[in-house]
Amino acid sequence: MKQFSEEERIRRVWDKEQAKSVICKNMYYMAANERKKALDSLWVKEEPHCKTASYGKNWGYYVGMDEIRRYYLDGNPFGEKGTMNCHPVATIRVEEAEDGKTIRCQWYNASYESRFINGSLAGLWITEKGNADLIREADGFRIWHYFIGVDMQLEAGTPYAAQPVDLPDEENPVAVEFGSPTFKMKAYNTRYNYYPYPSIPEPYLSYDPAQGCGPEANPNYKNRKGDAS
Amino acid sequence: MAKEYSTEELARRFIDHREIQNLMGKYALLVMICKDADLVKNFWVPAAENPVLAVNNGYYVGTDAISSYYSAIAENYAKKASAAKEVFPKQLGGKPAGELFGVGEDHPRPLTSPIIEIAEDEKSAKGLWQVMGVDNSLTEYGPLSTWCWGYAAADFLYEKKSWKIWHLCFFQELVTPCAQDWTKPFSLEKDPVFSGFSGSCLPEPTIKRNLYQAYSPKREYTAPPRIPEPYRTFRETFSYGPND
Repeated sequence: MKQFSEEERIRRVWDKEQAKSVICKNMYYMAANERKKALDSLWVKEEPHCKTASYGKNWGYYVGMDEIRRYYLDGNPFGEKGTMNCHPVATIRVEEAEDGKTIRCQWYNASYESRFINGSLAGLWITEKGNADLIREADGFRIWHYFIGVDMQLEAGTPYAAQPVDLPDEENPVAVEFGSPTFKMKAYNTRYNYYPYPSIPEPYLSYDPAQGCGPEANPNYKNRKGDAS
Repeated sequence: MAKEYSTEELARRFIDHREIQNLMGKYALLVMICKDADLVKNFWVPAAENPVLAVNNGYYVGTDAISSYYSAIAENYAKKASAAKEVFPKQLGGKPAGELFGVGEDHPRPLTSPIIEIAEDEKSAKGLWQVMGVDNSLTEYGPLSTWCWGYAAADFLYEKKSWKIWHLCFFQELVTPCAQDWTKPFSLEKDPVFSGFSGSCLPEPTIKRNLYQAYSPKREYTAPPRIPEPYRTFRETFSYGPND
């Protein structure tokens, strides 16, 4: 690793604080149902970052800000009376590239939601591994790639053991909400929690798509019909 | 437009961030272990104008009012400890009151998702946290665990070389017995063995107002408290205290 000067170290510490703040603000905007504000104020604005931006979950990736807006704004299940969500950011790890241009983050969410499932309001517990690659733009670090690995979703008050193993996607409200992504693929494996993607951020020189949380780093990206199991 | 800070200023502001997180971490840990009676003297700015604690149903304004709120919680714990002695004579019968205080009570308030903004003039700061809380208590329904998730939002003042709370909002968002679906009706049955645990009460807020409605299936969509934004002096930003 490069030896940074005192001044560089302070700048980098502050960069990491700013990155954490971006991720936490995203959570509050989500909880406030201000999804447009989140996209407008926290996500990339500059080309070509907008073209390559991605939002992934277990079932694939929306790629490009237009596609991300299609999912995140048009498919928003929140806002009606009785709905709510909270995806707290805990256990966050942050690494900034030596070149200072990007930051990789990983954190964990123990989350709850109330949403309509087949017309009925239901409480949901959701546990997720959150990941983001942030890139420096003119006004600071912005979300470029965002990937949520959903480890578990469970209706509140229901024993986990009562949920079928390998819950079919059509019975999984989080999968149903994710809709039809740009790249539909098995992007996350919930059977083995040591699945290598997305990797825990480690110190790095400069951004490498093969190490981030965009689709290119996914072991199944090259063969999009691939099976992560 | 946010100010460009020198590295020395950034280092100082980073330390301020950490001190504020430490302050709130200690506050949350003391709530967990039932040290409510000590909170005001340790955490609030003694000489601030109108120090405030805000809860879902209103503002406690002034250190006397805030103290009365936390003292009532401590008194309720003392009463419950006495009642516990009756229910568990074998385990607790010979214990003095001081040792019994807090028995059966555990109130973790893990703080997550921090957003902290230090004023440019470094005289005040604002913070927002999500709280993954749970109340584990002896109740009239028997031993009960209740989710108590919500948000903490605060204004801080820097006085005498340390950060202290000026206004603190502690809002409950999801309050529901563990292992229940909070969107469905449910009822709890009182346990006659634990009848001595009923009747906890708190003083009325100084300003009674619906500041934050806890979740119910009939609640309109409700946003968390406002996110702190970069600011120069406290006069130029919003307050987590009452504005009137």
